[in-house]
Amino acid sequence: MVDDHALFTDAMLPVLRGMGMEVLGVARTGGEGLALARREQPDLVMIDLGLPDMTGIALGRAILDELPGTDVLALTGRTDAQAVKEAMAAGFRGYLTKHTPLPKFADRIRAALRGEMVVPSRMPPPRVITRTPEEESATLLAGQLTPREREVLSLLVEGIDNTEIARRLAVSANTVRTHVQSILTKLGVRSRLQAAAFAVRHQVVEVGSGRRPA
Amino acid sequence: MLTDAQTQVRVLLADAHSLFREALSAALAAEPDLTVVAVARDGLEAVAEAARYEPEVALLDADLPNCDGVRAAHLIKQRIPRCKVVVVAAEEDHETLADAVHAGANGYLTKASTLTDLVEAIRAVHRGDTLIPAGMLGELLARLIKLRREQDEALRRVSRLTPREREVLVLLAQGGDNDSIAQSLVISPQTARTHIQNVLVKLGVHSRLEAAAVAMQNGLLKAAGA
Repeated sequence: MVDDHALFTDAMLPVLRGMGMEVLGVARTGGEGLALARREQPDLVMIDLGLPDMTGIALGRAILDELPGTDVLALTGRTDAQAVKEAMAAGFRGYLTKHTPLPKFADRIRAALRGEMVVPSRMPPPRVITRTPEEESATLLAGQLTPREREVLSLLVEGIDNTEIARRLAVSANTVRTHVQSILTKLGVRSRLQAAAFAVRHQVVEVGSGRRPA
Repeated sequence: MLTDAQTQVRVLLADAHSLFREALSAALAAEPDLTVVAVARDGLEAVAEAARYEPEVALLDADLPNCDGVRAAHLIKQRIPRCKVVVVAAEEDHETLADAVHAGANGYLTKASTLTDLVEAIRAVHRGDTLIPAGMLGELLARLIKLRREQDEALRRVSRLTPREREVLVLLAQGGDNDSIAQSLVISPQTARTHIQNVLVKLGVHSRLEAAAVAMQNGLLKAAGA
């Protein structure tokens, strides 16, 4: 959990433990949160959006970028639609407000851990996206990709295999596999080829833009 | 158990955020000497629940909707004077603290405090202590002293009024117009107008409303037995 309100996190600890979760740590600032996430590599990070040193969105983006196996959830007092949009665009697994009653909170967290996208009930759920025009839908789907996932996608488009992608991005092959899986999930496609086709068709990445490490 | 019942501190918890309210309520209930007897999601509900359950300690979020925590504190202290009130603010805010103290709050802490801090604060105010964050005390005292000076200055101005002008000011503060003030004092409306004009000049204010406010703030109405 990353939240500068100790009173909130202290009160939430027994609740989360009661839900069968192990709380690896609590951070009060974005900087602490990033360090803690790097060290503990948690399954889930819950981030308050109003942190003292950086926005919760920026922290979430940084964590998602570095730790492809970690999901990020906004847990905040803020209820504006813009914040929800930003969080989802940054690749957050979901957005919960502190107005959520406890039983519903538990439900939503479990859903998030199962891999579902979790958004406030007053907001349109993501599946509504499929009913919007194709192009807008593609933009929304692509908007969920982290900068790192975009890099991987642009390399996929060039037909480069996992081993080579891992070498170019200086990460492990396992990390690349996780990134690719995440890309497939976010774009709603079943194969690397479909992902590449999606990227080209909707101009998610420029062909040939795959950056090489300096 | 009888001994437990005797030592239980009965607590009201008011916060708009359900998740925080429910989690904190459960955490407080886990303390052997605390019982959460009521919860509220806004200020008006907090005042109503306080009147209904007469808790020993009320925890009020400063940013409650429908009557904020400070106003709710004031209303609760008015209705249930023996209920101790702690205002819980999102962050250290000197104005909120000063307002809370004026409203009669017994404690102030921020949500950056730990659960242990809060539990200790509940016990402390229940014992009769007043709880102000040490780092905020200097600014609070400076504000109170400044306020006192302003009141002294207003009193000094009020003291320049003649007995007759003071009578006029009290009637003015009670909402009297020229004619009714003239009638009350058995003088002509013209004389009443002149008195009022003198009152405004001596108090250094521009309107009857401001003059009435000065009278209210300085307890002139009570002094006059009105």
